[in-house]
Amino acid sequence: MNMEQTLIISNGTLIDPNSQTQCTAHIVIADGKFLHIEKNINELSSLEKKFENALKIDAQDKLVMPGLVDLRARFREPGEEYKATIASESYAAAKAGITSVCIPPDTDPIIDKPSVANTIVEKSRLANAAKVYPLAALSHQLEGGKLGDIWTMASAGCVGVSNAKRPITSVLMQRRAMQYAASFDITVHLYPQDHELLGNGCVHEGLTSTRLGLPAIPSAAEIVGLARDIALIETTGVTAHIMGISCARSVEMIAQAQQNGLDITADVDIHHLLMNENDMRDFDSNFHIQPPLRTANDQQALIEGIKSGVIQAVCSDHQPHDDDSKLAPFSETEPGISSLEILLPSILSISQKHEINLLDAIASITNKPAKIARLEAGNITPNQPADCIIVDPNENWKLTNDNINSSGKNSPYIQQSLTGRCEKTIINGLLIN
Amino acid sequence: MSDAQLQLTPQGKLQHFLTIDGLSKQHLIDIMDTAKQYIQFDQKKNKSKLIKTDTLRDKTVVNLFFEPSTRTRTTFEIAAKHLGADVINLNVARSSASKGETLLDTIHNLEAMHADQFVIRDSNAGAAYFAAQHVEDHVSVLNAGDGRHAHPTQAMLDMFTIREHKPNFEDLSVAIVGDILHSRVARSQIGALKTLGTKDIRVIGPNTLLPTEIDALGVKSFNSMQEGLEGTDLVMMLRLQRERMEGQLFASDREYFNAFGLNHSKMQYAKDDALVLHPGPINRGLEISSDIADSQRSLILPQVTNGIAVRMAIMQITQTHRAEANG
Repeated sequence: MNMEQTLIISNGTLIDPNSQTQCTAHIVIADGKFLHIEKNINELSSLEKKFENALKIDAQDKLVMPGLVDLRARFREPGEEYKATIASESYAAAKAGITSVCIPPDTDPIIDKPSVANTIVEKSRLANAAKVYPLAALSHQLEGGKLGDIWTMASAGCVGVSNAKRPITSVLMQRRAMQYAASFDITVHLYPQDHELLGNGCVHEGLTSTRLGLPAIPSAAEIVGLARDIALIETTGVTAHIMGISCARSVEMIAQAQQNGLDITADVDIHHLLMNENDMRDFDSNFHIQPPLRTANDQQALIEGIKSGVIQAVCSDHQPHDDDSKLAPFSETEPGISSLEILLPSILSISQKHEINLLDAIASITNKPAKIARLEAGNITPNQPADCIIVDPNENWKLTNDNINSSGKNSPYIQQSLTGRCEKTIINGLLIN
Repeated sequence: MSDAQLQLTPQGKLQHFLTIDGLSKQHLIDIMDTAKQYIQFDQKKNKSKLIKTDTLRDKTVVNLFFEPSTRTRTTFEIAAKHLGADVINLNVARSSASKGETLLDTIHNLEAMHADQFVIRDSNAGAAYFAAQHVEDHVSVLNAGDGRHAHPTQAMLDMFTIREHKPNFEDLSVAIVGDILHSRVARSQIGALKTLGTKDIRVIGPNTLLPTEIDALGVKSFNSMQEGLEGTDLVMMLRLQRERMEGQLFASDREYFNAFGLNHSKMQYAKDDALVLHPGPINRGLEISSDIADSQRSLILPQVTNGIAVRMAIMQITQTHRAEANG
């Protein structure tokens, strides 16, 4: 099968939030791009005659949607190949329906030179699965002290800059970096955190930390960091994206900033929509994440934030780990969940459970994150790269150690029932699976 | 399976001792009744005497202390020896930052040397539970303190000591004073008192030393000794955990003593026959004055002796049930 092969996906329910389309349609793909979207379902036979050598894919009773866009997933290469590799994770992402992924810069070496970014992109091309978009380091060596070579990295194709989850210890440096990025219209991805208040905490400061005696992270750690970030966004005029919020108060603050006309978007990782601190199994390191799972009230506010549009995107925050990283007393384990596989079914279930209409729910993992990362992705439009997935919205399945495609088996969702599964993934017009 | 569930056999018998959580009142009473067998009170000499046996004669107990401790480790050693067991003491400096042997590897290595029971103290909450999840079927684990989470043997010896003097737990008013936030002792004490039926449990300290949501544990919090000690039967003092505090959680030593230290005049707020406990070691002049620590109202030294009997009971109970459950 090659790029020249034409495809016809027939009889599926097209879900394209970008054009607010939700209807039965046939889709023609040629030369790696969407060629034609046919909403008159009776035209199928004439399409098949016109493109007689086309590969036909029947999507009856299935959803056809843009390939998912994930703003934050770690593929561990270069530097931590014992946990996972670009090959293993881009394949796992594609099978899970995720066709475009932003990679945070905290690899080893750090993504602070064009050569590192290029190597990552090249490896993903060789893997021939999900497309990978590296984010560049905001500060030199991510140490938060000096400016990184932001202009060089943006010129080399990086879609944004970030300091990953590492501390930006100098407020002065943060302001300068944001001013500098604004000069070149580069989006800065910020993780709102005051690192002193974060300390060595590993759970939310509240009922769980009191009961279990684990070192705690107060909500104030995020709120103080976010207040600082918003003030600097206002004074520098930079385009900013706030990563991974977890507090109700953060949603309010971002809403206010947006109302004041600031160019600020936000995302939440899927776990904070699915769970709160009461869902944690005591001392089970699979629940160790940062930011920590907070209260039911915070969880509800984040869901409302998606509904109201204050939070534009949902990401997996995928962090595959080797067994040893999770096999120790809770506070000694590394935080992070392997989560590519649960992103799609979880968005479908959240859409149902919280009465978010399907187009809006899918937008949070397709066209909205694509817009934040300025990618030509996340939509089904003629002449756009043909990245799309065919989803069975009714398939009931369970995540197990055997069917996780990622190298990381560190997931608290194992043995949980899920509904909705990606059956086929097409990237640049090529059928991946 | 949570730590509360893991420590019980399918028949509900204690096979590890990890936490007070999930234990019934009967479990606690059984421990105290068993401990009573190991200690005799001589009325004439007004002293107590420990009874030795050889129930754990062919067993090896390993004290695996990743945090410094002389007192607790010594009492566990004495307890094990009074039961006839062989004792090995391992003081290991271990931190997550160092690239040394993992907790898991240490345990497996010691099991290969035929250890039967581990007494574990670690600076990480959940460490003893983690160990219990990975030991062999015949090996039992006792938690000698895991981070801020639990110190269940300390709570049991405190309950045993209280029962000797004021057995009516339901009617007692108890105040716990000091650094509750960092205290595994306090968490276990609160759990044990509640399980034994005590309704009026109070914590006293500045907000910087009190955990958030402590009210959700069924406990009233006070910032004043005068209000908090009013009408109490028992005052349980905690040591200021200087090594666990990251920066200033209280002002000068002098200010702390004046505001929250227990001395003769503050004892007046409690009932006339109120008694004082402290897990030790005490900081004279910081959390407790010498005259109170050395007075007739202090149970500090009996706590130590009782601690040996209680630990003997717990070691014997867990080892027996573990052996029973696994053939």
